[in-house]
Amino acid sequence: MAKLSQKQSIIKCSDIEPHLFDFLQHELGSAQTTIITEHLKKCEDCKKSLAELQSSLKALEDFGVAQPPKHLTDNRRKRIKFAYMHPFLNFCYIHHKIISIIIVIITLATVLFLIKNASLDKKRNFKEYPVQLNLR
Amino acid sequence: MKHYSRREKEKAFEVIVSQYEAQLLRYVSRMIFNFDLAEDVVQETFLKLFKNWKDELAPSPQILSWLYRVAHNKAIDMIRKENRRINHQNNKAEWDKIDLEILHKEKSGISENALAAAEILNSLTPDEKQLVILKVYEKKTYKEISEITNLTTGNVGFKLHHIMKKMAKRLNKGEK
Repeated sequence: MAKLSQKQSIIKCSDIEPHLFDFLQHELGSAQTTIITEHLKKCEDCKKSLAELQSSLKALEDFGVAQPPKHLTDNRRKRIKFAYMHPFLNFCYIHHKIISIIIVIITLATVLFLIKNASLDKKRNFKEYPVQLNLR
Repeated sequence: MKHYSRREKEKAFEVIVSQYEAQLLRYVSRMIFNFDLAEDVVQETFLKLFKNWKDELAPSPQILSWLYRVAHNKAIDMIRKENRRINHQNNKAEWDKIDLEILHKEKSGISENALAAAEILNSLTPDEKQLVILKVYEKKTYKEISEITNLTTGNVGFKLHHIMKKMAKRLNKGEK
């Protein structure tokens, strides 16, 4: 205790001031809390700083932001659940434009390929073979 | 990575969302001062959780810290996106309207001092705002805040002290 009071006598406001908010929030150890409490009893400047901090803290607390919604809407909940339960379908849902373009390209390529093959087959079927007629 | 059956997945989903949606909505609403955008951010945060979380899906401090971190980053992205959109439209007044929507909704029944404090809070940088919201509204300890923000506990205290001092000074001067 003697050591603590000796310590208190050499403590300056500049040592105390940076810890005033921690003090308000009960984030300090018991020794530091005692030192600050004792200092505040004697120091008007630090007491004033503490009062200012307290007042701005209270102003902030008084402003309870208009009650934000407590729950997500049903649609959003369903959307999250769908993404979690069906990741592949969700991927398709997110990238539906790219997937649609790819499907169209593949379909077009297949159709073109089939048309080309069909015309080749046609050509092959009507190929002219030289015929030699023996008219003797 | 644990494999979940369909029923387990549904249960994990319900537990996680029910447990954390209110806290996240509250936190993000205070970050961006707009309920609709806050819901967007929280939805995106959960989507990211269910896509990327590799460990067990059960409420834990680790999941909560992760959710706060992701929600914070997404809120910042949302603020930037809205800023860009409004700058693009060259209409600053619209952003002010969106940004302070909650303030004006709540104006009745709140002291002038509280309104001024909220407007000062709104003018802080996102990282400063995050510290104040976590401490003042969410009542987190320095240790919990340090886990969310990746700052040391000493640094959390130091920064909070300076922010609150700055706010007190502005409140005393009657600035907003």
